[in-house]
Amino acid sequence: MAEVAETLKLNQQTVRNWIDQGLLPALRVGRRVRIKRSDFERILEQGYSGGDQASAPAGPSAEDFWGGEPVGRAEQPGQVASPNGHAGSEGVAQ
Amino acid sequence: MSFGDDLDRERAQIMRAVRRASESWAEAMRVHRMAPPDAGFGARLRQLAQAAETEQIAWEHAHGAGLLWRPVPGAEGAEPPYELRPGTGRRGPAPLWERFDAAVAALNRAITGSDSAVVADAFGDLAEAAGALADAVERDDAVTVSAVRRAS
Repeated sequence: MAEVAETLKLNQQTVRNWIDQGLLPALRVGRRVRIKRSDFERILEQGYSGGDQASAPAGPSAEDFWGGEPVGRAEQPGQVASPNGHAGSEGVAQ
Repeated sequence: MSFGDDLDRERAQIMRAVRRASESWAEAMRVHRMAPPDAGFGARLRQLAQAAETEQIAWEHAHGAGLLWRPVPGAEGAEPPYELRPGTGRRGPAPLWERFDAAVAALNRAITGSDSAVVADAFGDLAEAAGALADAVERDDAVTVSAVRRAS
């Protein structure tokens, strides 16, 4: 996880958030987290291309909120999600 | 172990609580959305009140940890599930429904912003309004049941 964060020039919390949100598959071995190179490269590619809009998770909507979809998510100040739901340069905390 | 680690751990715990609260809220909404007319209405209102209270607590903690609510754009005019909307024959005292509708409007306004304290307060108001309605509907149900028993 540290390697991914370092390579992408992000903090580790952002990478942790991606894992928690299911955007980046990871295997937890005790306290260690293993990430497949292919998954990392996919994230890298999305980052450079601005993300795959077609497959990106949609942002929250009021219909989701009242319609039975869990949309509540906490963000750290200054770490704002991009409109397509992906973490921005600093990331979204969840 | 550093202060930063403690902060990360605390925030991670709060985020998990927020996620659980959000799931409880979503479940309460699904129950209202899929409900048969009337049956179990009081229990559903109670579930809604409890879910809203769970959200309130989670977002108070989030606010304390300096975390923000992720805004839900365009929620100002959003409507709750059908059986909770005005004009649908909702059972319960009208003043309590007016309070509920005001709480829904305030929650809709709150979730378009990012202030987690405002969101917590709005969930709290909705919890109180839904709880009062649940009390009233359950009282009404109890009276109806006892009247039916007396008649039979």
